[in-house]
Parts: sequence; C-alpha cells; structure tokens
Amino acid sequence: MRSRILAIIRKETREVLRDPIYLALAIVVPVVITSLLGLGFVLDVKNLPVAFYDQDRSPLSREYIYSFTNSEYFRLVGFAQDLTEVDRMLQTGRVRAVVVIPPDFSRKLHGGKRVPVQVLVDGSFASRALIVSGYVAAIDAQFNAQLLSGYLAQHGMVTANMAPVSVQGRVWYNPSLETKNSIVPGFLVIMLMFYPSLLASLVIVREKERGTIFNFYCSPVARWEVVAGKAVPYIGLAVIDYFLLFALSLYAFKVEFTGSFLVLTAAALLYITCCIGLGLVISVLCRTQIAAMLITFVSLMTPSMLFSGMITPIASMDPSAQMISRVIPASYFMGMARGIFLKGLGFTFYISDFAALSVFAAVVYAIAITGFRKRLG
Amino acid sequence: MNAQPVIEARSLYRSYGRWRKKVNAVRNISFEVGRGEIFGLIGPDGAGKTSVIQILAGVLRAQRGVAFVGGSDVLSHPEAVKTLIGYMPQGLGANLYESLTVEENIEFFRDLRKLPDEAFQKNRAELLKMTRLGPFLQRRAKNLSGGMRQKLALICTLIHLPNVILLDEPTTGVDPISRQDFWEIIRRIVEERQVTVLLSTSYMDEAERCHRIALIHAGEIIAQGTPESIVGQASGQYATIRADPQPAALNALRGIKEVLSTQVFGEEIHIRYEGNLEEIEKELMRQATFVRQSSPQAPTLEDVFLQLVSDTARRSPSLHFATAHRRDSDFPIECRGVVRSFGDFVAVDNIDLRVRRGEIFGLLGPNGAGKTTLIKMMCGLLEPSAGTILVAGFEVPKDKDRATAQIGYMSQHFSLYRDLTVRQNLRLYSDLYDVESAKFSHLIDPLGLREFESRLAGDLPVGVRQRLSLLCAVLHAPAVLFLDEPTSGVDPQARRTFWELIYSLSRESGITVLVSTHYMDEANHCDRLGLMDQGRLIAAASPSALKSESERRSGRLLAIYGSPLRMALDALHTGFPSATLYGDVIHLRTLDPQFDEQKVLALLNRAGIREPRVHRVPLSMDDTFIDFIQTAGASHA
Amino acid sequence: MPRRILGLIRKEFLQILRDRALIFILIWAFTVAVYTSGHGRAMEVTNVPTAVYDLSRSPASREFLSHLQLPYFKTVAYLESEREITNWLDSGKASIVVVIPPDFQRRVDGTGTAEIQVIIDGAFASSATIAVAYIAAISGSYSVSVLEHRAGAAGLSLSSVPQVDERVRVKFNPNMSSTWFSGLLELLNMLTMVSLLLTAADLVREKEHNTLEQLLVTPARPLEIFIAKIIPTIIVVLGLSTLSFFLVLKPAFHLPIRGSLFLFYSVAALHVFAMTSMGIAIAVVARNLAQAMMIMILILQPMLFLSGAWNPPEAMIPWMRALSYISPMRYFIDFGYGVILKGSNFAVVVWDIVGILLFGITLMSFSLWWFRRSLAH
Repeated sequence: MRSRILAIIRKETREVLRDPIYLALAIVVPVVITSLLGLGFVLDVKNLPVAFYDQDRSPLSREYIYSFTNSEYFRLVGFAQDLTEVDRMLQTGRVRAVVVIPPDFSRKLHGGKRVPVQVLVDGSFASRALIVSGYVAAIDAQFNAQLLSGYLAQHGMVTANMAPVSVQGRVWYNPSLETKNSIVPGFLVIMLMFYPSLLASLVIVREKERGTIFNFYCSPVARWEVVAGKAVPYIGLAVIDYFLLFALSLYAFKVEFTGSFLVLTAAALLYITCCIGLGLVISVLCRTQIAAMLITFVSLMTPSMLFSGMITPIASMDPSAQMISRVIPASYFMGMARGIFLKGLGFTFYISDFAALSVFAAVVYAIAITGFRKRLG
Repeated sequence: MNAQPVIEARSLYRSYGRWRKKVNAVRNISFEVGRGEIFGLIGPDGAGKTSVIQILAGVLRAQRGVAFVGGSDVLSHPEAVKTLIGYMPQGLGANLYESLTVEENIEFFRDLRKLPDEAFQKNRAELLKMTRLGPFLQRRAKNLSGGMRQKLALICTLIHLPNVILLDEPTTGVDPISRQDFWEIIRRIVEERQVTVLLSTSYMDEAERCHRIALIHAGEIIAQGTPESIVGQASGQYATIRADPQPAALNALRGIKEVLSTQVFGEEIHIRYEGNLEEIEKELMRQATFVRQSSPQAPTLEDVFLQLVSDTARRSPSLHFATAHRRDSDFPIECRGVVRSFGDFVAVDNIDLRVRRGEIFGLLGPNGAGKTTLIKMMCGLLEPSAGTILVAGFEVPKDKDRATAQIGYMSQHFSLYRDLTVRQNLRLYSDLYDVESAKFSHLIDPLGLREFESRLAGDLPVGVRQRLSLLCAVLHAPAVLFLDEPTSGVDPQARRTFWELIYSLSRESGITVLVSTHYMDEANHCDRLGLMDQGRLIAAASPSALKSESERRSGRLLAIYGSPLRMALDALHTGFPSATLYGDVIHLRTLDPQFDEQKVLALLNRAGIREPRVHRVPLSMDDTFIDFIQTAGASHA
Repeated sequence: MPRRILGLIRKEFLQILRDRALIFILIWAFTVAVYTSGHGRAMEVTNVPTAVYDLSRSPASREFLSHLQLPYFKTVAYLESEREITNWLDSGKASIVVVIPPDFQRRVDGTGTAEIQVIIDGAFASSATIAVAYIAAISGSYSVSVLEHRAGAAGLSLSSVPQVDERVRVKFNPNMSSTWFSGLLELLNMLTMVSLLLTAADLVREKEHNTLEQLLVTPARPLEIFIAKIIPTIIVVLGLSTLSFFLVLKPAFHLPIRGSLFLFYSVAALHVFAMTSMGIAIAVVARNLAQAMMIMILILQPMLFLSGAWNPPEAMIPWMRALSYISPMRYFIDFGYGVILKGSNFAVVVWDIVGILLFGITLMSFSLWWFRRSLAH
C-alpha cells in the first residue's frame, strides 16, 4: 500500500524545489532579516542625545553637566544659547532632552540652597521619555548624594564620603548585558512565527485558485491527510530555517548558549508545527491568495513583535495585552528560547509550555482539518 | 448494456446565490447511464453541465434530487463514490501541477489512489502508448502543449482504472490531432474494460461520437437520446447557398419569410428554410444577386440544437460603425521578415504576411505554433527580434502610441476584470479609448449583452464573456482587429453568433480581422488562411485553394465504414498503413481513388467485415491541415 | 487629467469595494489593530516585575521598598528563601529581585553603608539596563533623605541643604502616555504596509489575469496605469487613517493633533505614493504573488522595525544608522510624530518630505524603466 500523505509531501516538496527563486527567498530572507535586525534593532536606551542651556557657566555647573555626559545614558549634542533654541532642538528631534541650568546654580548650591533645574523631555516617544526621566533622576540623586555628603563633611559630620545606601547590581544569565544575547534569540522566535505562517498561508488557497484542489476533492484522500501532507514539507523548510538561524546566532552573533540543543530543537519543532498550522488555517478559510497574504501580514507582523514578550516581559504588560500574548504561540516559545539559550534550563522546567504549545497545535490543526471541506462553496 | 444503470440522476436541482441574485444552475435534471456507455452532456456554457458533473463527482451539493454512482448514494455518501470515479475538471490540464514532470504528475495520482504497483505499471504503459507521451516523461507539465497537457490530464484521471469516468469539457481548446487521440483512448477503454463515461462538450461533432446524449439548456435537459434520434427531431430543411455579392444576398435572405435562419461560412451561406429552395433562389435573383450554387443539405446535430433553443436565439446581429478617419492603407497588416526568439527558442521564424483591408484572415496552427507570439507583436506587446510590422500604416511597437487607436485586441485568455460588472467594464474601456457610450450602445443589444449588464464579468458564461471582450475590443472602431483564439471553449450557438459579428464587422464596417484558431470548422469562415507550424507560415491561401492543393498533393479522401471497425482498420493496415480511425469512420487519402476503392473493398471483404462501404468525401479542413503539417514536417526533417 | 486615468481610477475603486473580505481586513487593520497596539502598552519599559527578598524586615527597609513603585516597578512577590529567587527569575515572572540585607536598619541608622543587592534577569538586556538606572535613582534619593535626616540630627537646618531639584517637564506628551505613541506607530505602520501590499498584490494579479496586457493595447500608457494605481490607494489609505484618527486615536486614547492635519495628510499622501511606487517596482519584477510576497517581507520587516520608532536611531551602530537614511519610513515616522504630537510646521519637517519624495520618484522611474524593458525581453 502506498501512503497518500507521502505522495502529497513528495509533490509539495517537488513544487517548492522547482521554484528556485522562491525557495532561495524562503530560506535566505529570514537569515538576512535576522542579521539586519540583530545588528540594528537595539532596544537599549543609551547615548541619548541631550543638550544643555547653561546659564551659569560655573565650574559646578560644568561638573553637573559632566555627570550627565559621563554616564553611558547621555550623549552631549550641544549647548543652547537661548530658550527658543531649546524649543527648536526638541521640535526637530535633534535632542531627546534639554537640561536648563539656572544662572544662580552654583551660587545657591554653595550657599547650601535648593536649586530647581528644569529638564525638558521630548515625550513623543513615550516609553523613552519615561526612561529619560528615570535616568535624570538617577544622575541627580547621585549628584545630590555627593553634594550632601560633601556638605555634611564640611560641617564636621563624621560621614564617610559614601552614600548610606548603595546598590550592588548582579546580572544573571547575561552578565555582560549584551543586547544581542537577548535580541537575537528573540528574532529567532519572531522569524519562526512569521515566516512559516506566511509560507503556509498560501499552500491550500493556491490550489483553490488554480483548480488543482479538485484532485483532493474528488479522490478518497482524507482531509487530515491533505492537511498533514501540506504541513510536513513546510515544517521541514522552517526547520532548515531554524537550524540556519540557530547557527547564525551561535557563530555569527556569538550568542551565549547554555542550554540543551535537543530541548530547544524539540521546542522549535513543536512551535514551528503550530505556526504552520496557523498559516494553514488562514489558507483553508480564504478564497484568494491576496486575502490570505494580507491577513497574515496584518495579523502577525506587529503583534508577534508586540505581544510575544520580545521587547518587554509579558509580566509587565497590561492585562489585556497579557491576554493576547497568552494566545500567541510565540510568547511561549519566546520564554523557552531565551530560557534555554541564556538560562540553561532543562526540559522539566518547560513542561507546561510544551503542553500549552501542544494544545495550541491540536486546536489549530483541528480547525484546519474541519475547515477544509471536500466540497465547493 | 446492463439493465442496472451505473450513473443515475433523478430530479437534480441546484441554485447559486440568494434572493434577488439567485441563479438556477441545474433544474430538474434526470438521466441514466449504463455500463460501457459513453454519455454526453451537450450544451452551451452556463447551461449547467459542469454543475451536474460536479454533483455526480460528490463535490457539489444538490439541493434536491437523487444521484447514484455505482450503486452508492452520492448525496449522502460522497466519499464512497470518490473511490469509484475518475474526474477531470474543466480547463486545459487543470488538474496538473505545472512544475512537476509528466512522470511525477502520474506518480502523484497513483499514490493519491494507493494503486498497487502491478496494476499501475500495466496501466501506465498502456496509457502512455495510447497518448504517445512516453518520450516526454521528464518534461514539466508547464512546458507541454495544450493537447499534450490534456492527454496527460486524462492519464492522471484514468491511472487508477476507475469504473466511472467523469470528464468536464475534455477537448475544449485542444488541437484536432490531439482531439482525435483523445477520442481514440476513450473509445478503446470503453471497448476493452466496459467503463462508463459521462462527459460534457460543446463540440457538436464530438456529440456524434457518444452513444447517447442529452442536450442541456439553461439547466434543463431539452432532448435526450442517441445522436441519430435527436437529429431526427429536426424540422425544416437545410441548404447551402453561394451568391454574389454576399452581403446583399444575406440581407435578401433575411427578408424572406420562408428562410428561418441564416449563417455565413466564408463564401457560403447556410440557411434553414421551409417550402421550396427554388423559390428562395428565384427571390434572390429578383433582388439582383447572382446565385452561383444552392444545394440542400442534411441537418446536423448542431442545427437541431440551435433550433431547439431557438427561443433564445437572437436576430442575426449587424454591427455597423460610423468609421472614424483612419490612415488609409490597402494592407492594414503587414509583416516583413518578422522573427521573435526567446533565448535559443525561435517562436516566430521569418514571417512575411500582408492582409488586405476588410479581409478576415485566419491564423491556423497547433498549440505552440507561434500564433499568439505573432499576434502579440502586431499589437505592440512584444518587440520583434528582427523584421518590421506595420499596422494601419504605423510601425509597431515604435509608433505604438499612435497605432493603439486603430488596434482592437482580444487575447486568448479572458482579460477583462472579473470583479467588475459588464457595464463597469464597458465604462472603463470607453474611458480608455475616449469614446462616448452613444457610439457603441447600439451594439449592446445585438451582442445580447443587455440582460447581463449588471452581472459580474467573472460569472458570465464563456460565450457571453467572449462577446463582451469583442465589444471592448471594437468599441473604438479600430481599423484592425486581432483575435487570439476568440472562441476557445465557446458553445456552438455562441460561436455562431460570434462569427456573424466578426463577419459583419469585416463586411459592413471594413474592419480588417486577423483571427487565430484551432477549430478547423471555423477556418471556413475566413477569407484567407495562414497555416503556422513551429513558428513558420507554411501556407497562406483561401480555404478552398488550400483544400485543392492538398488533394492535388496527397490525394482524395475516402471514408470507409464497416463493422467491427477495429478489425476493419487492422485489415486495411495490411495494404494502407496510413489509414486512420476518425470516430466511427476510417479515413484514407488516395491519389488514385478509382483503383484504391476496389482494393479497400477487397481487403475488407477478405477480412469478413460486415457491411463494408467506401465513399469519396470532400476534404475537411482538419484533413487539409493535418496534411499540410505532415508534409511540412517531412520536408523540414 | 486624461479621461483614461479617471476611468482607471474608477475601476480600482470598484474593485476594492467589490472585495468584502479585503474591506474587512483593511478596516480591521486601521481600527482594531491600532486599538490593541495602543491599548496593550506592550512597549513600555515600565511595570518591571519585581520580587522583593527582605531579610531586614525593618521600618527602614519598608521605607526603602515603598519607593519601588509604579510606573517603574511592579512588585510581584515577597520572597521567603534564596531558592525562590532562582525560581522567579528562571520562569521570567520577575525580571529583577531586590535583596535587602539583614543589617539594613542598623547600617542606615549608623554611619556605614547598607548594600542592597539587585539581581537582574539579563535575558531582557535592555529593560535590565533601564531597571538598573531606576534603582540607582531610587537608592540615590533614599540616600539623600537619609543624609538629610542625619544632617537634621546634627542640628543643621534642613532648608539650607544644597540640592539639585530636577523639574522634569515632558513636552508634547505630559502624561508620557505610551498609548499615543504605540497607537500612532501602529497607524503609521499600517499605512505603510497596506499601501505596499495592496498595490503590489493588485498589480501582480493584473499580470496573472492578463488584464494588464489588455490595458497595454489601449492608449493607456504605463505611467498612466501606475498613476491610476497610486491615486486610489492614497485615497483609500488616507480615508482609513481618518477612521483611525477619529474612531480610535482621538476618542479612545485622546490623542492630541497639534500640527496641521492638512500638512499631515499631504505628506502622508506623498508617503503612500512612495510606498505604492515600491509596490509597483516589486510587482513588475516578481513573477508571481509568492515571490512578490517574499520580496515585500525582505523590505518591509527591516523598514518597519528599524524606522526609529522601536529603537532610537542614536543607539544603532553607525552603518546601520546610515542605512536607515534610505528608508522612507524613517522620515515618515519622524514627520508623523513631529506634526501630530509636537505640532511641527512645514519648515521643521521639510527634509523629511524631501527624503520621502526622492525615494518615491526613484522607485517610480525604476518601475517605468523595467516595465518598458520587459516589453523587449
């Protein structure tokens, strides 16, 4: 007896192999994009362009300015000469923040007084504005602590030249805090979500447009055989992408990998299966390739970035966003991929995620199979 | 034939859409097909043939009625039926995967059907031999010609030895040689294995090869029975008239009460009439036309069909344009040494051609002969690799912007917007050509488009689509009209109307028409024919001149009858290796008819063939064409 | 405008209106998708999920911990043992753990320095960096309050302590609402994505359905055909943007529109022109929809994610930043935030406009050249 699934797999594979441009694109594009984004997508808010309007021009004000430029957070862009220039600098986006130092800055401080310093922050990129004000607070607090302990010492207090509370930070998993270590595994997840779904979203609807779908309608082939036969070659293609992306992160980006390759591969396989299934559902339900493509782009491109936990931990999201992330397979695999890459966690730790992805796969394929009708209309 | 029918349809009913837009595709259709029978569903596009076949194949739900295939209830257990049937959807090789090779396509269908190896090998070898596709096993489906594609599609449909074969318009768009092969395969399979075949077609000559047929019109069966019995239902008489000048004769005929319908075939006018032919002839003479010849003819199935659906038959249309000013040229189409190559492949090879003003020039050739490439170059869609093309006096594609107003083009594939209505498509083209709708609105009725005006172009029957395409191509009153296989897949009634339109454009408005086709019967409509093969123009002359040249070179045509036919053919092959089967007739070309007639009869008698008969028949365009191609091929090799 | 172009434009509209699935996807993209993106606050580096391991359990430690508050920190757990630290960080449910030493109260009361340990999940490298800054700010201000307290205890007047008081003023977005930012970003992304996809898919379909060939036989010239593709897309996309502004962004997020809407629409139209030109360029090159789709992703994904909206361009490596200058999206994002949130006028955004325009014209010229060339080949 011959297997129908094997026949469909063989046929699909051959078709993919016969369009070399498409095949090359399908394999190369994720790698190219991951390379580009791995290099370019830097979420660290560092070296923010900042300007000063220093009306005091004293050694103390320079010291104050230095405390900004000395940190890795800010980069000095220039000095404003008047308030209109301050406005213009913010308006054009040349700087993200301007610190306005009042004329009596050093006089007041030397006199043991409080000095208001105005910091104007560009709020259009909201999250960055929040970070900027956090940075400013951190720098000011340090500066103040210095001022104060100096002042206290001056007045004969037996304070060591140290702040009473110090923070000792310890970074786990990624001690050097290199962005690539978290970004690149993140993109591995995003790519394996977006791509396989997109490829799969065309496979059935294409046969509908061409009319070859009748071969399935009019033969004794079972619906699950069609869905499985269509899925396997594309799962294979996506697995190739996975290996390439994995090699890319390990050898080109030199991302630390502390976990088990086997567990990651098993998780990736399950995840890819989910994503292919998602594409097949779209393909089964659409009538035209254009609609299938648009739906996949619109519904997966940015949500997979936003809600997968790629940029911010899911735990810090709004409850409604957490709900969305819970139904996106990427958010499960994101945790697994980063965990296995950086935290070296084993299979037992991810049993619940494996289970969640398995449930997702079961649901998606059930929809694809029941949605595929061997009839017209 | 067995008493128990293999296919049984009772009171099938199917409609599409809802409420106001409801279309009844199948209305109360009932028929039975017995084992070993070839049953044909004949009717125009949109008649409901495809829906009936799809219902029986279990892919379309019927809203009412009962259908059994091989004893299984299709409507309640469609999956049970699917193991029994082989279904071939409409369209040239529509079930094939373009990027797979012939071999791989066949294997896919084998596996889909889980066919055991032994049966597969035997069946595969047999089918490949019959279709002569053996040498092309490694070729990809997309590189096959239309005829080869369709034969491969048939192999794929038959590979699992189905007992019931459902074929939806299997020969539409296929060249005559491949069509002949196709029928031969069907006939052999039915003969050898007693399979049951249900097919649909819009070719009347093919209907005659079925055991029984049903004429379908607007979702209903209007006649059912053997082809002969249906022809017997014809009323009125038929005749062929040759008269000069033809347009005047046509007008006169249309005015005569006894003449029920008219149709132009090149120089001939076919009429259906009542009463006396001589009276009609006299009347013509009275109206100052010279009748060269008039002869009565036996009605054909096509005639009967047209007569039965006459309630929808339209008055013969007349398309007349107030022709715009155009650069005068006696030869609106002129090609000098035109070559077009794609890489190493020469698609059009050094063609010289001139078409006179008002002439209908037919470009004839098998799929892949280069017809489409040539037409595209004349329309300015492709640049020639060498040579010059002048259309309406303008060189294309250099002067394309000025030539476009003089060019009308109807491409091989339906190329209007499917998601726009008829009215919206017309509006678009009138805008594109900057023509007021008043200039062409009088054509909507004669083209029978009025009732379809608010329908989507994609939902139209093929025949209506073609008329719409034609209107879009001519609404700016072009000097030259290019039609690339305009009637591919169009039913006879629609084709007849279509040709009348072209004829009237050419005769009444002086539009020069260049039309490509592979329907040989249509070739007769043309004033002059160019035969194309492998990129070359191997002959260009009037249809009758081509026929007589072929007769002079390869001899007269003998039609040989006898039974059993298969044995008769075998017997003939001992003396005449070139004898070929054509439907229920064996064809043989001879340069010495008198002598060979005797020899044929002798051979048949010796083989014990019952009722042997030999007739000299006029050469059909098919035979002429095949002869020219073979001669050219031989001289080429 | 020639009647031909008007006719073609009418045709495009009729086709769009005919496709209900398409209309649904389009409206969904510009309303629901914009709403979920804006509402989800998925891009904020705030609410950092924080676990606290307080070994001191003293009034001082409670005081310190009270500073760990929203919007920067969200305390998710109070831990009881060392082992729990690993658990919370491994699972990603907490991104940082604050460990307060047992002798915290004693040290703060005395003269020494109390060391607070902060353990950070490096898997989110960027949020970790930011979290460190936040904590530094908190410990700094706590230090200051401790010092002030000591100064007070020593009899120094609290009013005469030298201090820098930062008065952060967030311009353009005083509440630092990230819904404005994310909502607007999603709108600009959709505007870009839809313009590109719609045009490319439509033109590829015209190629596949032979309607393009038929058009080329008419007096319509390639440029006219292209223009007739661009204008309806501009109208549709701008119409949808209006829907987005007045159905979602304004009523749900109270987004202010500070600049001139006329300016925004004019430049948005230019941007749509640039993107449709790109879609046309892709469509004339690609053989089928699948290929066109791959090329589109190759361009879209880097373009959207490196536009400067997700990550500050200043943080990119230099050659990446240079690359972003050839992306019209970069200019458009800059422009969009400038006009809508900052109220920028024409003079401020003129270079963004030039960038978009140059891009569109270049692509349009390429398409025309390729199109004419393909006639000969």
